[in-house]
Amino acid sequence: MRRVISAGVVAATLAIVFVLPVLAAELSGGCRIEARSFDGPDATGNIVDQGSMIGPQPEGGVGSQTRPFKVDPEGSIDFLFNTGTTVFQNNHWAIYAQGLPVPILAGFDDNPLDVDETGIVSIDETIQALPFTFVGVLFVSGDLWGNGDTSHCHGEGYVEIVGDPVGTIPWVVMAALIVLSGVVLLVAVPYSTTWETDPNAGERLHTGPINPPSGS
Amino acid sequence: MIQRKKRHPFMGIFFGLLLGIGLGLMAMIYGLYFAGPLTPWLLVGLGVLIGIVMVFVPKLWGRKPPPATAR
Repeated sequence: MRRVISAGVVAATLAIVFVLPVLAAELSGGCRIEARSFDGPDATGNIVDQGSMIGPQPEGGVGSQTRPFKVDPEGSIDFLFNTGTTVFQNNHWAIYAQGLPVPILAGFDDNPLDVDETGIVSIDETIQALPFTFVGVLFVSGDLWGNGDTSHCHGEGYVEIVGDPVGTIPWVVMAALIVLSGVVLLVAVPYSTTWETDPNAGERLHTGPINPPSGS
Repeated sequence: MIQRKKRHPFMGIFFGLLLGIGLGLMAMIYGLYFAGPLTPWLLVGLGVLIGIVMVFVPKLWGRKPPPATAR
């Protein structure tokens, strides 16, 4: 039994380390997305990045772990989303970050007329909800349901918010947590061993101690 | 009076959790997703594990001598 448990733990670890990164970028359900990011608002300024995704995205493709889709925190994204041959009537959608179950964006469209959806998203307005500037790579996933939840598209991939993270609040918090907790773990936690009086020590037989045999 | 060692794993868990959150933030900021999208969460768990282990690792320096009555 112990071998089975050990094998299960090893298999799960290998799956997490090797399989999940491969499966981490895809757009399923026959949907397709094309996007181009700019460093200015309303799709103006210089192009920061562009790419498309349909089906599983190979490692190295735009949106994969080693090649995240880059966006400027003060820029915008021009996007085209296509649902293939299916019109998603009475649809609802949600976008999640880092796998958290609470969506960062959500919405619905009761009566879409076609399979295409285009738009320009202002990154600045979207991340203004955060009380601080975040620079880094986020794992973003999303779902689109329609036609009484019989039609479904699921997409996920990595998005990099470009910039210098040094000095941002998340970077300062990160550095402080690692340094302070590391020092405390190295110096203070071993000192958490203290001494206390053993409440069960010194107990004897109810009928008194056994006398050692004479001559021993 | 006999005295014995008493350990405090909660201190290790707490500061290990802080270390794990810091490592998770570092993974997100620098894009170090070596274990896929679960990497930041795995690092939080790793930090807690490190904290618990540190509680039970014998300290190599600054050892506080036990009381004379300790065994």
